[in-house]
Amino acid sequence: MDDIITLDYGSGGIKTSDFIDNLLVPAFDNTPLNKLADGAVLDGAERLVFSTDSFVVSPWKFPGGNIGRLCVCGTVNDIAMAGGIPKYLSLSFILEEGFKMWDLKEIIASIADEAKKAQVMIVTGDTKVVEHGKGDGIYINTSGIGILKNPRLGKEYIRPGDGVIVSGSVGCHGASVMMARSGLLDGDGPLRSDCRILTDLAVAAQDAGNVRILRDPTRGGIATVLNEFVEDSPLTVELNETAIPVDATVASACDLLGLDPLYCACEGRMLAVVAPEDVPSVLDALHRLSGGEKAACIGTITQKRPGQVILNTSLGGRRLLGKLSGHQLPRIC
Amino acid sequence: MKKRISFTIEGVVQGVGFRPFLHRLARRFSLGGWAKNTSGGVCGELEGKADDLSFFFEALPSCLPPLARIENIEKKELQSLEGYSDFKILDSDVGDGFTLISPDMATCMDCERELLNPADRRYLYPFINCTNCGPRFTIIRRMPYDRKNTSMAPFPMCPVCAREYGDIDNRRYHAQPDCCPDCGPEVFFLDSQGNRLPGSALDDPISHARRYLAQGKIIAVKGIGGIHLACNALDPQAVARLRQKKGRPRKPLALMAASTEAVRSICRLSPEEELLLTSESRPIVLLEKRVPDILPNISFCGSIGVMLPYTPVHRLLFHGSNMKLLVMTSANRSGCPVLTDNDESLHTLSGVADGFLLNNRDIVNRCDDSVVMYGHKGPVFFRRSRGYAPAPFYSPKDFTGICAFGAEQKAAFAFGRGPYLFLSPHIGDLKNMETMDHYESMAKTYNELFKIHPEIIACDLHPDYASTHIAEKAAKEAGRPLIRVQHHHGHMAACMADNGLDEEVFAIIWDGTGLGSDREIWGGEFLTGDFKNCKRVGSIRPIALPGGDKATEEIGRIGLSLLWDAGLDTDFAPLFVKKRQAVTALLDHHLSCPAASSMGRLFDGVAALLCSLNGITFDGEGPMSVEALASGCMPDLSKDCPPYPALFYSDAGVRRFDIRPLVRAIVSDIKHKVKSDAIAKKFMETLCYMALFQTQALNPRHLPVVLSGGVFLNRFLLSGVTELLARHSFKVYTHHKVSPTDEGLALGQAFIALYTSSTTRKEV
Ligand SMILES: [Fe+3]
Ligand SMILES: [Mg+2]
Ligand SMILES: [Zn+2]
Ligand SMILES: [Zn+2]
Repeated sequence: MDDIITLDYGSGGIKTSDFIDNLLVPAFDNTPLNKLADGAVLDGAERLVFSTDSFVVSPWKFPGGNIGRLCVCGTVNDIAMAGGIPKYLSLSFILEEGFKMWDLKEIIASIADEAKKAQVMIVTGDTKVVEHGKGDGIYINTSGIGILKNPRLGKEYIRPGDGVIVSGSVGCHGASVMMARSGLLDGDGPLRSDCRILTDLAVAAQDAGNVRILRDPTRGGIATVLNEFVEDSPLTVELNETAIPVDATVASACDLLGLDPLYCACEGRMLAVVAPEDVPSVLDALHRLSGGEKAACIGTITQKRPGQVILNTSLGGRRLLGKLSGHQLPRIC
Repeated sequence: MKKRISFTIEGVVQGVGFRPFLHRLARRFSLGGWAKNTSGGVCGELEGKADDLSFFFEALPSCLPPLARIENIEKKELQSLEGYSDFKILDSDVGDGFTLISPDMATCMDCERELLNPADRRYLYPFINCTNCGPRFTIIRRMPYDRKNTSMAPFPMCPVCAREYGDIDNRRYHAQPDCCPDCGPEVFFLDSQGNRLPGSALDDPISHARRYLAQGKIIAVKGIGGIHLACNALDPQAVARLRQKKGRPRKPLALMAASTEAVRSICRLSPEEELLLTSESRPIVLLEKRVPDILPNISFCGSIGVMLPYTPVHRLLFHGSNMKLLVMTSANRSGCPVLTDNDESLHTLSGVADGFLLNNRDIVNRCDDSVVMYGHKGPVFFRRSRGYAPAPFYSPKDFTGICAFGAEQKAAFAFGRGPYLFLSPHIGDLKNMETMDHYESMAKTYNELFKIHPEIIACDLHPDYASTHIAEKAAKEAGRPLIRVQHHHGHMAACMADNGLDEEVFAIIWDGTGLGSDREIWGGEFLTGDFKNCKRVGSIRPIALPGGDKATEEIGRIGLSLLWDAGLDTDFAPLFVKKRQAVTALLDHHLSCPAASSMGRLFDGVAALLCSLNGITFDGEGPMSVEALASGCMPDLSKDCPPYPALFYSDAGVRRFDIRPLVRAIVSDIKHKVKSDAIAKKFMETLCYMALFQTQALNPRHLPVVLSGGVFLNRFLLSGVTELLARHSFKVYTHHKVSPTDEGLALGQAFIALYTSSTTRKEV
């Protein structure tokens, strides 16, 4: 094995096999993968959840995680949020010529570690290498399959009066990645990505009460996801700013960057809309689990402004949290 | 020979004593007939001698009631005679037409005389009004303008008032809000707990209020379009307490003065300014202080905003009191619209006001005070609102169905019907939902009052302005395409429309930020174009804004950004070490640093460096601080070259002013301990020359030059740029009817929408 990734590793030749046999198979060791077929034949006679996601984060390593952990969490969490128990993952790399083998090993170790925690098997995969300058070091795609446990999740189940619960403090991932980019963060500081598997929290919430919908607020943060919950519906999300957990480190990073933590990505947080009577029991269940200690009810579903998300601010005012068209563009004239 | 004719009159003809005026005029010329209000204006018939009929219509325009305005008269001769013996006023008709509504007007001289005359039956009655004055727009619920359609509906007239109302020779003939102590609304005074203080002949509610003010207390006063917080302006402790309670440490406060003499005791007052100040619109007028250090706790700038009493309540607050100057600032929760409701104000102001002078008449349509200065050869609106809205912008075009939704921070809309564009009153920053609600309900009110049916919808290019979202919704509902207008093209068109220009122009648009057609942030632009097209030919070097809008709140970041870009030592920026390092890291990594070619941001950055200012406490504090340093000075434009370097470079066809040499020169002066007022003056003079050099280079055909954008509220720049360009034989146009800020943008959007859609409209 070389010290850096060369275009050869994506050629399909010896180096590719070398890479698969020596790096991937030992790391994810399981029967369907070990067969190294093009597609995996999977056990099961139940309804499935299938999801895919690509990961292009830069820098690939950030406080609290790296792209390897992220690519497992991302797809696993998508399955969990859809009411499934994640079982199998595919894994595809697009590597840039020149990427350090040492770094790749670290990423793969993280993938293996996270997959183990998630109790999923990586059963199929692919690797391509692009010329130097044509990629951003490393891109990863994962797809995943899970067994559907709860078919009754979706926007259509949301009702006025429901509670909106978030499983922990918001915006950690987005803020730490941005700060890592500025070079202002060392790995030991308190600001870290929240990147983590959500299956246990999702299962616990669904066991504890009537959950209407689950989502992990990744790109666009909780503000964007909550908008998606109610857009084109007669319902409103009303949030209480003071109830939303935001870590002090995230708040100060966002202040510097001019970002709103409510629009910053989370990678290990869950938003749940829960029947009013079950809010306490769901919160209680989440509080018992690691990663759910700071779970909080941050708002309720009303009908005040159909299709919109209202933030009751700490100053006593109200603000509409719209969906942004893209980046937060300056508006002050 | 006798004739009978029918007539319809359009314009501001309702609620201004128009029908009584017709009655008197008809009687004067011995004509019979009738008149009635319609939703479209006033219509009627007249019968009499042919000569008398012509005398009537000749006399009509020259002796109108003070508040009336005629836009159009149509007459038609009818076949037969009816034999009318007298002139009657008939009940109103509601059709699909519409009519203009008068803005609210200050108490007239006659009413004021009666108010203070112990023999008058309305002596000291705080709701005195007549056909020539009083509330209009703020009390109207629906058209036509009859008492039952206003918030005077719960107050049926007593027999005496009813007699006046029916007496053609009375000043209150058909005055809808006419009332007296026996039948009209009443004021009451509540303490901070909301308990009503007993009223008696000696100790009436207004005396309580005066006593509270004299004791240095803060009171809430319900006026005509909203509720104010008031205190004695000459009591430093009261002012400090008001500032602290309102969370308004530095922003200038508006004053109400008992009289023009009281105004003169603190400010200089030119004849033009006096006319504005005493006009029936009674705006807040920004006046130069007599001496720069007068009342620094009211305004840190060289000017103070002052208004005169415009309702009887205000007048009575000064009556028999030795307080001649009161602070009168809008009462609102931070960022929210001015309060109008009694209960809400008691709740919201419970920790702020020591007493409440309220009344039992509802404010239907909120309308904040207007703010204006006498600028370059005419009024310049900071805010066009009470006393002006909803009087429309008139142009002989068909604006029917055009709805322009403006921008976000100084939101205001313009809705069209016939030759009129109805501009909304001041609405505020749509970031808050309360303001959004106000915007939407005001839009609904305008739609109903003026019978607007949206057909052509325009908004700003910025996708995330709340007003853009509202426009998108309106376009969807109307099933019409949305016209998205580039921000600075909108400003340019607004200034063209303001001056009646319809030709190719050269535009200097200096403001905060607006989205450019290249998706970059603009704000220091030189454009050429007309209502249809717009080309950016010049600009200034973009300034990186570390943290985006956050940099506009912490302008020290912009100061740092200027230093960084100019290759200077960033230690000079007014930020703590850690923040300085962090912001520098953002700049080094091009992270969260959108670039803005913005003149407003350049002022922010220079303010940060020059005044060591970082966290600003109100919008515009940076630019105002720079302007304040040079207050009382006039630009020196006698030299051939500017005091600081004005160099340019070309960037993809755009000629850009290089701000780096300017920044280096400013910093060098600061380091050499040149006085900051001299630096501020040199900085702004340089900008005047920069505008001239750009215009000379980019406008060789000497197209008319329009100036727009909020930066042109800066008196020094406005007069400097205007004079310098005029000296070089450019024809310069500035705003006089709408504000150069984003508040005036909807007017420009409406014109652009009209011209953009005109081809399709003709086919329809
Ligand atoms: Fe603007
Ligand atoms: Mg995903
Ligand atoms: Zn009057
Ligand atoms: Zn009466």
